[in-house]
Amino acid sequence: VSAGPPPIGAAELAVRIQPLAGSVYVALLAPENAIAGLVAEVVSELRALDEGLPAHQLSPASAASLLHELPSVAGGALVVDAGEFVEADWRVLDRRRSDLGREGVTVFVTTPASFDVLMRVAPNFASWLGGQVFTWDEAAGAASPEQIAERLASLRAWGAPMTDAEVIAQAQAGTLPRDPEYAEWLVLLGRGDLVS
Amino acid sequence: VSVEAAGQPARVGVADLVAHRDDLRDVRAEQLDRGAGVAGLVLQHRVDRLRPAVLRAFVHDVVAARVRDLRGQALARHPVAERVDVDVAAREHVLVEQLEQPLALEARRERRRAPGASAEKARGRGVARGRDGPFVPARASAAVQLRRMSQPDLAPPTVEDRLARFRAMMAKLDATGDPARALERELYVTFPGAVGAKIAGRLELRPASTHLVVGGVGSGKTTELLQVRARLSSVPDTKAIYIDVTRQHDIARMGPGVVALQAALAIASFVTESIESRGEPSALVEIAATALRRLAHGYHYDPERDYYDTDVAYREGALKPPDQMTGVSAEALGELRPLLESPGAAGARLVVLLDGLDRLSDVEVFQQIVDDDVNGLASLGIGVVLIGPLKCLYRSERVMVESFDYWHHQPWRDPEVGNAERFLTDVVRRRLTADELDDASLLPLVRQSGGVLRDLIALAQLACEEAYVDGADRVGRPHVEAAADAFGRKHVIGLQADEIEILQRVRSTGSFVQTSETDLALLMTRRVLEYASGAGAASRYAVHPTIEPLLRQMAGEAT
Repeated sequence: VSAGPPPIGAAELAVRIQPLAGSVYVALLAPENAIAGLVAEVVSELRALDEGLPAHQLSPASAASLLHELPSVAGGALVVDAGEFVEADWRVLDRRRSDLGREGVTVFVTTPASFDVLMRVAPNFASWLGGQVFTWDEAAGAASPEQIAERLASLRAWGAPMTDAEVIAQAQAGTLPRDPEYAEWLVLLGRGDLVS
Repeated sequence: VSVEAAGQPARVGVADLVAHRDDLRDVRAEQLDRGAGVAGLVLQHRVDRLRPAVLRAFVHDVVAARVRDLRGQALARHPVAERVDVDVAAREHVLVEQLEQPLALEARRERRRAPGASAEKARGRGVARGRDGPFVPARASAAVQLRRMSQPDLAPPTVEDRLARFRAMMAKLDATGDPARALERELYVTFPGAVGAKIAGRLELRPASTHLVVGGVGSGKTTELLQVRARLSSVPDTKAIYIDVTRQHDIARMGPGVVALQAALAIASFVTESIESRGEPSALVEIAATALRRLAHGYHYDPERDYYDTDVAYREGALKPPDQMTGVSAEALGELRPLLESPGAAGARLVVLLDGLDRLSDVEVFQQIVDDDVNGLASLGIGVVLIGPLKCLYRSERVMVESFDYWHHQPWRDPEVGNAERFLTDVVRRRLTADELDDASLLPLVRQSGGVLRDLIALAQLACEEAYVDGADRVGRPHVEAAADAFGRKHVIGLQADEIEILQRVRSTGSFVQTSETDLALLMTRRVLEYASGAGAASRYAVHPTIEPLLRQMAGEAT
């Protein structure tokens, strides 16, 4: 099948993870050489989104190490560098999935090849992932200039007769209504700094 | 009403806020914090990193959360909503400002709302937005919401904080969480003739009977086991103990004795607690419990000292009775006997509910466990319910089910059959209301799950996620479709050519014969779903609905 898991950037993944509650398991597939950086990026995105949401990262050498370290990780989001996990590791997680249980979102960042193995040897663990499997694509989240222009046009129509300059001026003066649309307008104008 | 000096809070009413706007404005001018907002900088950082729809939803949530914080600051100081404290040292100037012209603001929104949208929607819940539909403000402005909160005679505010709302929805969709928690939260839906009810009924009549439960991954076996425990807890003389045997022992090193030992340890805890609660300590019970703990976890001893050295040698007999147990099973059950005869267990009918052995890949080991541990426990009058590998139902392994008094198949619920469809929709509705997942999306969601309970919850969760990033206020058909697509894409990963060939055959003909390991693997992984059609009738087979479009695509058919 040509279609793999849906593409996603680190920022959007963080936004998606934010509302998840309970024990949720997510897989993010990425090239091996990008995994370490991606783990850190997802963690920083999560922390920027919600300072109150603990975000941790682990780079275990094996699944056994992960299970050993897991009890010391508090609740909240956990991003695991599973780029070097092989068949034996996925089998361990499959057998010991009860030990993997934790409160919060756990993101496994691994390679497509490693995930392919997971799907063949770890049916129990795979079922825990549900449909939460994505392929990392750095460009997946970028809005095109055309999309931004289109959205700005919608906002201008909504806010008329207010102009871009008036929105910025009112924001600077602290008199801009606190409607989310105005905040979005400011952000798309490149003045997100005025949203307070 | 008067506003005190800057830095000092003043208590004023809503109407007064408007009347004294000029005074407040003066104060505000002195206190206004014009520093750049951290939240705004975070937003700006994402402008080129999120899809427009996601960015829109995200911006709205950030602002909504900020308004909520500000409103919280104001209302926290005021016990009744019709009054607001104005603390000029804080940042509540924003609220004051928005209170000045709520009616005008609402009127302006009314004029701008989409043609055909109801006034109620425009004021309250927001106007639904399609992915590519016309832009319409999604919810009433903060000012309008605040005014409603501030005036009890108006309708209560709608939930403005989407993030909090979606988090609450997601919390009810914990597909991989502890099933016990779902039961506590009353999310369990009873299916007529459910396995748990059948087993509990049998055990009420025959407490020492043995039961094997088999079913696919995510079919709800553990939940049924917990249901058995819950039901038996109301039977006065029966004690049902749940044990996940993979918690204390690596299932890869499972062998005879391990299960009996874990059951014995759990029973020892029960008996010890029972004796202590009566204030009747028993040395015999303590000795047996200690021996079991030593057997389980090891102990230190002096190898130079041999307590049993009597200078008399023993020669093993040549005859080996077929039912004679040896090793850990025999030791564990031997230590269990005095516990069962103690006052702590007097009159109690014990049942152990053993979970986790469905993950055992070696059926020969499973057979040994049944022969030694299960039969051993049963011989002591202990009821046993055991979750076993799905393989036990197929091929030559099927003979294994004969080792039990009863065996039960926890099947998938065929979503195309009336009572199963009702059951599955009830499962969803117990978690999500029609305000959270619209009625038109319910049946498609159920159908896409294939009747697999865990997949149903997982799909609902994923659909909620899609709705959240789409900026929608509730889950609709496009979100269910997106969730099913993502699920299917994941579900085909790892398939080999021969497996795809089988799946295509099942898809096109419904024909499936479980002969090879490959066939069984497809059943185990829920790519092929087997629906029991009732006593004596042949099973129906289908591929998981989420992968069907992908299989069509692979076959070059129109989807």
